[in-house]
Amino acid sequence: MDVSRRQFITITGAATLSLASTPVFGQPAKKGRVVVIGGGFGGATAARYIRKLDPEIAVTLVEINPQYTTCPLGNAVMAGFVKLKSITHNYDVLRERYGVNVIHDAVIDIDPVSKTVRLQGGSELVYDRLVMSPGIGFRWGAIEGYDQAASELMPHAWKGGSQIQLLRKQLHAMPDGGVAVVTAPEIPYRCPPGPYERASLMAYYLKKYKPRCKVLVMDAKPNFPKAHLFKQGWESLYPGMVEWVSSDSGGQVIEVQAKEGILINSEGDAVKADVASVIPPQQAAKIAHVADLVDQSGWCPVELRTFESTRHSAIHVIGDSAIARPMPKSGYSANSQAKVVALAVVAYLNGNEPGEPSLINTCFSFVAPDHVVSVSAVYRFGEKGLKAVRGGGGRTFMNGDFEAEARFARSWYKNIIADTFGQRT
Amino acid sequence: MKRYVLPLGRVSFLVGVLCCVSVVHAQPVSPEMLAFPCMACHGPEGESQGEIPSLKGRSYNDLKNHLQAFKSMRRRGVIMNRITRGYSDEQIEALARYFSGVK
Repeated sequence: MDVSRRQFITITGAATLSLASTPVFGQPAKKGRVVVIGGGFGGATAARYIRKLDPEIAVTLVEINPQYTTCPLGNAVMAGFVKLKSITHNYDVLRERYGVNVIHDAVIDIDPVSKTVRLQGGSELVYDRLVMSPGIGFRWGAIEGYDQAASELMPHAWKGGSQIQLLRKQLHAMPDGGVAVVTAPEIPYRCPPGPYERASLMAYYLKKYKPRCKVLVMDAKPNFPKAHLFKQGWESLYPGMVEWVSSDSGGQVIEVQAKEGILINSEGDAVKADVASVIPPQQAAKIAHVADLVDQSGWCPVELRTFESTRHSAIHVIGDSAIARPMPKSGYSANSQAKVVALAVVAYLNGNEPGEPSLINTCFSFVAPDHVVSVSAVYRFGEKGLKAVRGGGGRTFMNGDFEAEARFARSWYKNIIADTFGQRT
Repeated sequence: MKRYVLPLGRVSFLVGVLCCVSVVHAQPVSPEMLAFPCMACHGPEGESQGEIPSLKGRSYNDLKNHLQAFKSMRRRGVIMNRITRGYSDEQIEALARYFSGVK
């Protein structure tokens, strides 16, 4: 089945190539047209690498926002040791140096048969290959009472930007002696260690300014990534301040009453929070649903050698919206997947077969500004699909150099931004 | 409203073992494909800002020796002991060749 599908793609790919000579927005599209949807770590990296690898391929990047605020370092902005401005980036370098056609508009529909993308502004884009990196959507209502309006009172702050600022303001306004709650959903969700970094950096801020406060992590899981490293950090840096509640002990929040600041767990017990950051269950962004790229799980199944959708050919899905187990949903994963797709797309549009993929993920988490823990892995594709290479990767050692990791995490941020958006910070 | 702070119950730690299998390669991975993921940490073309070392402008032998020393634990790194174990000796040589060739 795989072989016949691949042949089909090759044949249709060749047919559309002959039509691909029409210039798109002045770019010479000698070899084909690629449309990229989503300008985050996945989409921006894919656009930059395709243009870098083959300037004869025209690339159009569609991203609704003129500026992009990263989720990495978002909790550092919340805690006040990084400025929002320094995690906000634009698309000028992609446009000017790499010749990417950047369009700030919303995608309203994708037709995988005629290979067109329809934008809210009225224009239509034709593609030979489509790269989708649209990120996450929230399952509003999965936690009873948690809808968009409730998120203005109990911020998720899980897509950067204004929600991060809102959470920061709430921490500032919090009374000393109050309780801040962070809720964590079940896997899969964006940034698995993120809720625990958030709790850590809330404790960092509160210990400094409101030391009688407490941070409660209410978890829908019985365990969490890098748990021993986070717990070690909490005990040494914020003794008695951070409490993690497992799903086994009533940690799963099933209902909120946002106006009253109430969270209710599966046992029916209520917690009154002075500040609550509710990170709700997630799914692929809405456009992935509209374009029929999701399965029953709400995420996008892909063939993990090239990240091509198993539902529609010539569409590659990367980043948080893709089902890329065992890779976690992270900016680093998205950036790495974008490179696999860039090489595959360039191979296809040059009439070649794509090569074997190799990917890395590293997740750095701040427990304090000078205390970072990490987990990493190297991934290859084998007989059993995409797997972490045995013996490669792993977590920070318990006696690791957390300060050196903190300096590396800041260096990593600058470098992945340069690698993604083409711009030095 | 009555305030509850829930009791901290039994804690189950994740066993510190990643789920892995041996990977058999039908085809060798291209040098570009091996090198590109490194650039998320080491910067575009291996030119780093900040404390993570640059790979650009270093000789083949220098890079190969460093990578091998990390892999064999002869040299202690921050992250690289973990990462290099994901690469065969041939792949380390391909990476050293790629980054030493970056202009």
